[in-house]
Amino acid sequence: MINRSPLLILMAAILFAALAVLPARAGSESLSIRLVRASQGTEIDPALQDVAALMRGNLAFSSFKLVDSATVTLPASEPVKLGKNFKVALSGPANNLDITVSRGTVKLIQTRAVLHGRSPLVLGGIPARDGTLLFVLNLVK
Amino acid sequence: MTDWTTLQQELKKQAPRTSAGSPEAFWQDFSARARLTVQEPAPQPHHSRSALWTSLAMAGAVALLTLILWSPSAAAEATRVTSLEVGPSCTGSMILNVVSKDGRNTGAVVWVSGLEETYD
Repeated sequence: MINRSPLLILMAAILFAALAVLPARAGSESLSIRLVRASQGTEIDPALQDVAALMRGNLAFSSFKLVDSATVTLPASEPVKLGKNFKVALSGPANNLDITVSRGTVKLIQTRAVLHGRSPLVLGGIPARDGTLLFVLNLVK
Repeated sequence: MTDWTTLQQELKKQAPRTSAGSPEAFWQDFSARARLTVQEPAPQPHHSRSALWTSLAMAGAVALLTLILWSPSAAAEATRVTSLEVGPSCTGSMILNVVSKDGRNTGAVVWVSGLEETYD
């Protein structure tokens, strides 16, 4: 007599994994947008720990402070307002996302990107008081 | 597998030795008796069919798991920029694909220059 218990457990585990993974891929995705002030110093905002190593290693800044943040579900229906005068308009899914950053009525950056997992997209170079502003976009689960 | 009960019964049927012979004769006789083994019964058809289905189910489960975990969307890929347009107020721009020093994290950077200072 063959013991089928391990097989049943394995099948149940696979079914559970499939049910957990497949809807997340097929469904909508959430995008985190963080407005960050980068400057020289030592302070790194705890809310930026996940991207601090990447930014410190590649940008000429050592201090990163979170100014504002928002999370939107893609595809986004309305532009996201951040800081005092910035607007981020998003169009399309994460694997073909159009992003437009405006300040007031002036369009600054318009780009298209393929976003993957925890790999962030940084849009930066906006001079500000005490540093430079940048936007950090990344998918969240 | 040897059926020892049957072997024991078969050995009982053999005539007992009443006189001691040479060691060679003893071991020859012992070997001849010890070869009395019972043939294995032929495997039942439903057993082999069940094993086949079990193997097929296992193979299917492994294939499904592989498909789920190794599909292209599950592979760790880096974010990349496919197009860029900057406003007239920018004097320059660049796209960088970046990797952290420990190599664990990747990302893309769009950097513009020439903008006027803003008061956020």
